[in-house]
Amino acid sequence: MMTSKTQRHFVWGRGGVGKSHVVLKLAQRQAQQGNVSVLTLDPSLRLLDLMNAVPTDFRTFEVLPLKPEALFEEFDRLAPAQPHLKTFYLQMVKSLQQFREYLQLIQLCRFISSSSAFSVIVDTPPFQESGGLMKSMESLHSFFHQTIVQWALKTSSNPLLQFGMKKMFELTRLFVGKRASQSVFDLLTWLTHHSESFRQATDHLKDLLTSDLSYHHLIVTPETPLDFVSKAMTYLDGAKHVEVIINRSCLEYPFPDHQDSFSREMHLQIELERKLREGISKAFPQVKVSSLSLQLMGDDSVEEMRQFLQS
Amino acid sequence: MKRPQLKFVSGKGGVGKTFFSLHLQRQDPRFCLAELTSSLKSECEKWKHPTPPSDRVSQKDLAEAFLRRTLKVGLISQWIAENKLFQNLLDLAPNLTELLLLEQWTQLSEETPFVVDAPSTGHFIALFEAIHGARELFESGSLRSIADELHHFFSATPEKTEIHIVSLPEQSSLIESQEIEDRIKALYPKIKIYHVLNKRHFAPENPPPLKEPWHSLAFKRPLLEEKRIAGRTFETVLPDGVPS
Repeated sequence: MMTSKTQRHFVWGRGGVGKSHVVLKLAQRQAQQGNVSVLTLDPSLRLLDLMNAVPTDFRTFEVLPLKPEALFEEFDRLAPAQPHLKTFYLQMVKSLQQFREYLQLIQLCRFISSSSAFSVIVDTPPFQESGGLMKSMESLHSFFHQTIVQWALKTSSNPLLQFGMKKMFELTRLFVGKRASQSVFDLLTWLTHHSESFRQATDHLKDLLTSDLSYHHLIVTPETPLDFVSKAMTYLDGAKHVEVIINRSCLEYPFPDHQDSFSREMHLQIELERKLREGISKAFPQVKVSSLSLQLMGDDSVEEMRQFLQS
Repeated sequence: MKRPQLKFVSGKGGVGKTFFSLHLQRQDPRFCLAELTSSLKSECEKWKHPTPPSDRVSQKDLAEAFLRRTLKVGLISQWIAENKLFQNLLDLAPNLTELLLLEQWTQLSEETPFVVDAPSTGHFIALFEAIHGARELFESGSLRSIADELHHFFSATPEKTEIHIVSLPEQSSLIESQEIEDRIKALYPKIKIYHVLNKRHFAPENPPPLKEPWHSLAFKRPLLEEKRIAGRTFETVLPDGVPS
């Protein structure tokens, strides 16, 4: 179990629902109670761009991108790697998105368990890709818990076992060729120096989502299908605090009943939002539903952001 | 001139990729829809459209078939494919799925043309960068062969592929669309890229009283959108997303 008392807030949502904006709003509110760090797992790094629009007087929290390059430096200081490994590692980080995600997940766990901040807010990738993130969490956790892996890691100094592992690994030549297979083997051998650190981090992955200190904010819009909410609830099974936030809510506006495209669009949004609310309250009566009203947005300007953060 | 057989639809999250994929498929029913998520069904329900033929890919089956192909010996590969550790390693192998999916789509499209409802910006670019990553990292082996075949498909026969990037008239979406175009062009400059504008709003005909809280939404929004898209070219402009 993680010992840190830091609150963890996860903001989930499909692409384009205003997730990054809500992350910033949540960070600014949480910062009224203590130190807040915002971490982003979204490969588009949209949050960093958006920070430029946050007015200076609202910048009461820090936004940290998780950089897997830093993890290498940290481990390299503890147990120096062979020089060619750094090039190989950096090449993998640069060209393989999924490898980057694994390392970021491990960094996330390490960051939270050692954080003394009041709250850490995690900006997740868009939800269809978050499915992959959840799968990565499970795969990493289950990999480090396979008996054979645990056994191999514990006895990595045994030369006979090293030899056996190397022979087994030669099979990977068929997939990636001799040179890359050797580099992967060298990289894994070097990483075994840090296996305990990896194992602990992956142990924390499940706890990260379901602990008493973990809060999940699921961002939707009136157009989001109920199916999406149901799917998200399956992923968040076991989580103790889940809230649905309907962004761009239109219910409070007295739109006219005209036949032009604007009125039809708004009335369709209202109809969809009512159906969505009804569906959520029937299927998930325990889940809190709140809303943020539709505003004129799209410029990513400082003034626009100020109005959003104040609303 | 060969006709395109593979049309990818991408863009920032929430711009209407599934909606436009459906639109492309309905324009030419010879095309089959390929999707990675299950958003197609709910999109069809939303617009009350019948669901077109689509191909949902089982990533597990793809990985197992790949393993059998590489290891050749049926019995060994079957044992390995069923082994929990190897299943786990296949799940963890970075970008393996991307390469296998691309391979499947390019191969199947030789028989049936495909519209691929692709992932949003970062993960879409990763699909193509996976090819270059594998070619840089692996000097031989089955993954390298797949990457070489894909590289050949996209660079030697670029006319077979089209990329349609959907944008909303919003700053962040327009920037991401440009990023997709720049990154793909840097990898495969000859692939044709088309831009699509979705949900362009127009001011209502009846002027509302200024005091109404929705006045700026109705009237200012179209003007701001006009300014944002000025100087950009869109091959397709979709209505504001409301069926008439």
